[in-house]
Amino acid sequence: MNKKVYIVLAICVISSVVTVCAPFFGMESITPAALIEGESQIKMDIFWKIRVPRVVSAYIAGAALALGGMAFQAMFRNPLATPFTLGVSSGAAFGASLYTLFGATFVLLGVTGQSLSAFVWALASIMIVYGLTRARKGFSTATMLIAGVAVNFLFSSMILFMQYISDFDNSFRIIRWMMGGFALTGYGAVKSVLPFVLPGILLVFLFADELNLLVLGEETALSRGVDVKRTRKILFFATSLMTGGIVAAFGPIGFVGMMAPHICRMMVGPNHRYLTPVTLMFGGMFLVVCDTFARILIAPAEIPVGVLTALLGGPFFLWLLMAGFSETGPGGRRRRSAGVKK
Amino acid sequence: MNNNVIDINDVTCLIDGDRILDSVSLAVSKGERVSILGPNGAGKSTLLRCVMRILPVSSGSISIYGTDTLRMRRKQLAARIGYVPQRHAGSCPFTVGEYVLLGRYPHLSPFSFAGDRDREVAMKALERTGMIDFSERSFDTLSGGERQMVQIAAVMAQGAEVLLLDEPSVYLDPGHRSGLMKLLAALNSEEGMAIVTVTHDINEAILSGGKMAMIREGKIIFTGDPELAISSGKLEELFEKEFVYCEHPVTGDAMVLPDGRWENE
Repeated sequence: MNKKVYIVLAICVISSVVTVCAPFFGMESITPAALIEGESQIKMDIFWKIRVPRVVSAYIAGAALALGGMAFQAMFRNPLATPFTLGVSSGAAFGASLYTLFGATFVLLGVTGQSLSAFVWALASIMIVYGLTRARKGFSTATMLIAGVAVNFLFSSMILFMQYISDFDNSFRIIRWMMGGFALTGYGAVKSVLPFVLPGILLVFLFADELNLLVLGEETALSRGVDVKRTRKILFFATSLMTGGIVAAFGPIGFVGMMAPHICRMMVGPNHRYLTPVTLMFGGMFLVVCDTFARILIAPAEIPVGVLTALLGGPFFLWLLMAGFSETGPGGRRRRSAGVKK
Repeated sequence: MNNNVIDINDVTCLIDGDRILDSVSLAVSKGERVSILGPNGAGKSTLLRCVMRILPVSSGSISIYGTDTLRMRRKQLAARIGYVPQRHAGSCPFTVGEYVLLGRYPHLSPFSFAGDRDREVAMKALERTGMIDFSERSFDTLSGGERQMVQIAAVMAQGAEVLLLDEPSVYLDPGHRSGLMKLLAALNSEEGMAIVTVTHDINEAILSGGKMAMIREGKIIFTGDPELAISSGKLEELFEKEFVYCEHPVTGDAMVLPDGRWENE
């Protein structure tokens, strides 16, 4: 047990250090000395008004997307089952685009209409996918992944259609936003996602034990005393909140939710009491690093971070498909060969 | 106050319109041993699942010490009754120790880690089942017999005073089987746990002592002493076949023998 506490602490330190260092890198690197002396107002502004909110946004988004992925992977006992692959993200994207085109702008207690619409459609899409899978006799993850692909296509084509009928400005905005990224974020975006992300994160943390038991299968979870239906409802709600909030603000950023929790399981094992904080911190750091590379790789131009994560995520998905999940199971940890210790 | 741990009262269970259980009533008293026998598809496993509220009952009621299970929270139910399914579905990424500790779930809140007391209970359960040396092993690497023992340890850690086991010995070799049966007998006599077992092995049911319950096409056709079951010809009625009996040379119980050499007639 102690070993795992150390891993959690180590990740905490590494993730903090990386995140604090990230704003110094970019098209123009800024040294800490320049910041303290405050000689150049432009550098100060770049640092405080652009880089810092950007890094904070990336961290929050990475943490939330990773936790959503972790919860889904545990609930559906499959590392390929995440909000992104099951169409929750594209549902949220559809909701956000719909609102961009037709909705009236309003902000209520810091909650934008766009985020709200994204959340509602995210929830709707997981209900559709899950409902379709349940309606067939005998629940199968394969069926659910196929349903997810179908829902993904459906929403993507509706977004395309909306782009087609909208004017040039809106159309371009949607395209750029669909790639996912933090290039245009400020503190406003951070404020707009917090009301969605914080309750979501809290709920996932509260259900660590239930997730552990759901990994063992529905029947075992029920017999150990887990209210499976209620747990599922709450976690669908929590994940839709997080995904909706993030997608509305930063666009659909794929594969973080699949890669980060899987890597974390290899580091700290399948127990969600440890896995949840590690996934949160690692996911945040992961997206901060990806975003930093997105800033500097082809500077002065920028790669949208969603494109970068997809470039990493595609091969990762294939690797999981070929080698990973049939052998390792939902926990992702490779089986120790039998008889290592008698 | 009701003295029965489990009271199954006129329970009917419909699955997709099929009557899997038809007005089943069965009582299990404190520390009792019950073997449920019946042909394939008779509804034995369904009955256990209904008690555990894994499947909903269509009519009738099931109560624990007189309290309807529908009015209990799942955690309360799990703290009383432990269920060991026939086969552990799919893979399990946890070590044996972690797996058994997860059995403490009904006694934990989201705000507290499993503490020393929980760890102690889990270790005790592993010791009782003889699996203490396996606690660091990955659950997935265990053999069928070892898994069975670890699952029993987990429901013991759960704090259950009733064990429901679905064909616990079906995949076990004779050595592991007798180890399991001895453990169940010990849990029954020493810890006073009520044990309900679904089985296809008639001799196992006879030698376990306790009472026999027979289910056929969703209906209970007999409950009572194994001797009575044999002398009254209920066993033949249950399985629609003749049996050959002999006396056990050690215990003196009537045993069922194979029919003979299965040659083509």
